[in-house]
Amino acid sequence: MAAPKDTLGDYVRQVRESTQRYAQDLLAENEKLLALALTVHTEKTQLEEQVETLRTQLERHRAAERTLAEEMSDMESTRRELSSRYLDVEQSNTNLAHLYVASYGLHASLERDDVVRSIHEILVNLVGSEDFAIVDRASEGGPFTVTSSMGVSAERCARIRPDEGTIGDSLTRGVTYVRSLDGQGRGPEEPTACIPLTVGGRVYGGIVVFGLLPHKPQLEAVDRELFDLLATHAASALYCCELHARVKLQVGREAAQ
Amino acid sequence: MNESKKKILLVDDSSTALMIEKMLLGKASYDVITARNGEEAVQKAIAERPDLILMDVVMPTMTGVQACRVLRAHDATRATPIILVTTRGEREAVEEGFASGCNDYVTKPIDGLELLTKLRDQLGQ
Repeated sequence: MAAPKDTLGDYVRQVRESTQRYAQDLLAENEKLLALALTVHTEKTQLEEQVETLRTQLERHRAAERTLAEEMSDMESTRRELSSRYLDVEQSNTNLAHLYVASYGLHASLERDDVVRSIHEILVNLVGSEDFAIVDRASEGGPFTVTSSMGVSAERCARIRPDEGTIGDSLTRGVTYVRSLDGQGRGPEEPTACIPLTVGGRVYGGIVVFGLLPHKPQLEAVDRELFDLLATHAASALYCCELHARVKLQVGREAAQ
Repeated sequence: MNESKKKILLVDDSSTALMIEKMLLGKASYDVITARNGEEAVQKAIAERPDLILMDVVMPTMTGVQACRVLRAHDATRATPIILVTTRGEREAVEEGFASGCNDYVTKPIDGLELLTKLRDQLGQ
């Protein structure tokens, strides 16, 4: 009758031992989980710190990017300004070259034909006109007549009245006429410009521009400067030619005597 | 950039035009040679082998368009860039220039910046 009691005792002992093992396993597992949780927590903290660091760096980079963008914008406007100035300087260079070449050409010879050719070349190459006439006085105080022209037919030349209208007004007053941009009130013989050729305040002749080349819509500032230059330099060059011709004639006569 | 100076042949019967072109190109550091008409231009182009020819259209003896055709037919100048200078900017005149074999054109009065831009473009600068 002792056997069942032992069996129960064994069973209880076994259960207790199993329970103890299970409890130990749980405790061990719990330890592991605690250690793991600690590791994860530490990693989380580190990652949060890294994220914070990266966020700070990102902010710093964004600020640097904004500064660079502003600097780029400033540099771009400076580049545009310099580019615009460069164009202005190039234009001024071209304009100065035009004025220099015109002046040089007018005073390069004492022969009237050469000076007149030079005036033609200035009007074609520098002003941009192939439709003009040069008027002159045969005698002092006499009427103006067309002495040279380009692109103006003989018939049209005959119709030009240098002593009347706009041309007459400009030549009488010795004031350069330049047609207004809108060209209002323009008659068929109304010039684009009229430049009196004056020496010492006296008008010796004039240049009448009737039109510009088709691709040139209007006169520009440098053209007005060229007209001013022609008004004095062409006049003095032609005047010198006249004096030179007279001197040559006189010297020839004296040599013949 | 250590390029040798490019040689430009300027062709115009007008002293004024030649002088202004010389001034504009001289400051841009090009070597400049000149001719006064189309015939002289053809001779100089073959003898001197310029890198580019800037040639007026209306000239005595041989016009710029005629000279352009002759230059295009010659082996030595077949590929030389030619820019014609014209007082006529209308379509027909420009088409005639291109038909003769020119590479580009500029109109008178010459705009310095436009000329230099087209020139550099043709010279691949």
